[in-house]
Amino acid sequence: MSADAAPRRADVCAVAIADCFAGDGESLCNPIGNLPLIGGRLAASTTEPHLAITDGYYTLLDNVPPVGLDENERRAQRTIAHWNPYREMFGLLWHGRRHVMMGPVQIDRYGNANIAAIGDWARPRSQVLGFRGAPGNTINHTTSYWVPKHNPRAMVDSVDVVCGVGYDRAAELGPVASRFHEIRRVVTDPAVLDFEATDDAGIPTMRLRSVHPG
Amino acid sequence: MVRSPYPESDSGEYEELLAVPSLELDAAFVHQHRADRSGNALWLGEDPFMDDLYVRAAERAFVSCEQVVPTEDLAGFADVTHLRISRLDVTGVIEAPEAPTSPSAPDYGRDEAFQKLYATASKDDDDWAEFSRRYLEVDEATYRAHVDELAASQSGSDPATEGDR
Repeated sequence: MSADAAPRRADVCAVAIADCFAGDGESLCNPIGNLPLIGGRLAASTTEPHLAITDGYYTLLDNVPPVGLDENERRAQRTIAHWNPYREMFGLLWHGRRHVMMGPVQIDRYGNANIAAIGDWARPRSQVLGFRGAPGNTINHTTSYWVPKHNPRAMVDSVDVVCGVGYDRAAELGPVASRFHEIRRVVTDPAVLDFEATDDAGIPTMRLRSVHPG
Repeated sequence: MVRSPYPESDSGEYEELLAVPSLELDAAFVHQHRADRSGNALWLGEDPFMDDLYVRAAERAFVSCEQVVPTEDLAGFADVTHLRISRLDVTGVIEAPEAPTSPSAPDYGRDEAFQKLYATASKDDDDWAEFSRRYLEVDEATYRAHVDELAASQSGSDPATEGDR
């Protein structure tokens, strides 16, 4: 992109994603998916220089390489700061010094998120990623979401399967179990949303934070 | 659900925790890079995954490996911390190198062409029957010859993808 070209929608989204990690300081920035990766690495190379990022596999890096490198370049361009094999990731996330961004196929107003299946549980119409780390992530540390298509299929009244725990369910679990729970933001193609308690129940619900320019 | 015997320092509440009974594995099968004939085994690459936990948890455990080597050679392949699996936990060892469906860095990566063929074939009964005839219902030597043929018919590099969790 030349210096005078107008920013594209994806550029604006990447900046909005980077802004989700503002204030995280020395913690693991762990966005999943291409645009979230770009946004996370943008944050690590600008506003939040103390963020740690992964190489997508088994190490934490001390530099911020471009995304989408082939295997040889991925290895050549990384400055390894820490060995983080699969089994160590669990300890790190239970400890809580991590902010993940996941891409749900459905999300509701409380931030309950579905990355597993669409349709009936016994015979889903569509099987997607599976629960993966979503339940443990949302109960142990901060989570944000990237929704590339902001439409009624993604933004739903209630999700078909709860994978990531939302604020209503966190409240049901009580203050001890939900003490690390935070759904910080939802970035979509036209907007940024966050959560605030507006009724007497005190349960945060999704609200419009900003609309992307253009 | 079990109640923690220790109160939270600030609220004095007792946390409810979820306890899950351990799985009692009848058998575990894991793949390592090198092993000796009695089951001492080591991993190369960057991640040991959970293989050592599986072999310890299982009633009987079987290690396949890229190469069976003399015990005195094991420590020459990697730092001693990579000698992760002990013969005390292992029932049997087999040398079974070069699986095309799974990467085994640094010895080799995943055979993307074979993986794609497998994924495509699984969607159609006729394609699957053909895949099965060619790669499954044959002896080891024929299977390997067919895998090599497929690799030879492919040119160009495989696109790498960012991993995630």
